[in-house]
Amino acid sequence: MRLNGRILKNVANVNHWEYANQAYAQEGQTNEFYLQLVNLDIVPDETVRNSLTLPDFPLRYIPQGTTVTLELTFPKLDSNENIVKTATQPFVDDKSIFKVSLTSDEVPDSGSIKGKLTIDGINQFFLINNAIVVELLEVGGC
Amino acid sequence: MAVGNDDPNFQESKDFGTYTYPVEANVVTSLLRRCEPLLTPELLKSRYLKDVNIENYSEAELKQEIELAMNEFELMTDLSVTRVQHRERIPFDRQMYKSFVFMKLNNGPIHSIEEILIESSNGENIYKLPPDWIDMGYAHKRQINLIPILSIFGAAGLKDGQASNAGLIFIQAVNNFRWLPAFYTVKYTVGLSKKDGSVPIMVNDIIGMTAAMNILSNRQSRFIVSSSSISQDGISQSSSTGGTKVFQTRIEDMQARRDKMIKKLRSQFHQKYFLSNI
Repeated sequence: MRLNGRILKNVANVNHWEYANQAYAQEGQTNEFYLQLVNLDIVPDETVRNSLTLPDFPLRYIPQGTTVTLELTFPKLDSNENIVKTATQPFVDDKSIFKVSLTSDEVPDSGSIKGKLTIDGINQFFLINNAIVVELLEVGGC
Repeated sequence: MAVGNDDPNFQESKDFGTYTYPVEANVVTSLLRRCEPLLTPELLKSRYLKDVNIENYSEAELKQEIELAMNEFELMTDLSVTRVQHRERIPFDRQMYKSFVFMKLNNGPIHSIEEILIESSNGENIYKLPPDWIDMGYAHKRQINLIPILSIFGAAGLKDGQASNAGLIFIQAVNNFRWLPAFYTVKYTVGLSKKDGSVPIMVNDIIGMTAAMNILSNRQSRFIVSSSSISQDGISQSSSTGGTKVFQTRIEDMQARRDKMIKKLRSQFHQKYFLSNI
């Protein structure tokens, strides 16, 4: 199984959300985003499979276990400044969807997000490429 | 996340002091957007692939094309899209030593110097040069110098923050050598932006064009029919397309523009050096 995550947007309730390519965060304010765990090895509908390696619509993955924790790391060059957040499962009826909240002081860098899913003490890791775009307030120079 | 052999030690960094881009900019406003987040599939399609049918590419594959283009960019320009800390061994050259310890580093543009050590071949720290002496004026061109605040390299050298004469004696001893290999160890951070994940817009432009050229090149190979005609009873009709070269003009235009921008970008962050021992 190749575990990964798909970013969600416009999440209203367990039955109303859309897939997104990346999450957007704005510097200077609190941000929250949702992601759904997926299994890249399973694509339910063969007719929409447009890639074996990186399918657009892989099957969602619901972690099954007594204790389930998803930890997301927003990496920084100085590892002391890494932002590490524990995601919550906002919907009881869909345990594949997780939510992460960032405070206004927690400004990640645009790029990839590392994930660690722990089910009953067993860890699984994954990397969501180009997962978050951070809109900065200072754009005249970098 | 830093992954390496030792502590990156950002607490004692000596910073370049100004923005990386625009080069040597001290104060900027946000009236003109010069920097933006890393390229996304939406931006790639919007800027470079409008009206091109790429439905056989999944969004994840477009992300992968962007990643490939970023790596290609780093190789072509010898610049780092995101910040990287390097650890480099520099030889001792007496002429460069006399020129305020002129050092030319392999990577750039340099954001900060974490430490400059005189390190033995077995990794022992003999002497740590004070950060106050490091001049970062040309760090964006990979050049650093040491301008000692004291009249010579200190009445006492500094080793791990404690006054010590041991380093001074050592430095005066090596002055008798003309050249020593792998003498200094410099730990420094390079990148095109002080804020990882944000890059100059023209860097995104080069990356986007590179990715688009690869995609268009793949895409045009599907147009296997270049011309067709039909005739009956003296009436005929024919049509022709570019065939497998249908996007070739667009690709060549992008390539020419990209190469021009790479040249301009390199001129901002590179400098040609001619050094030799005679």
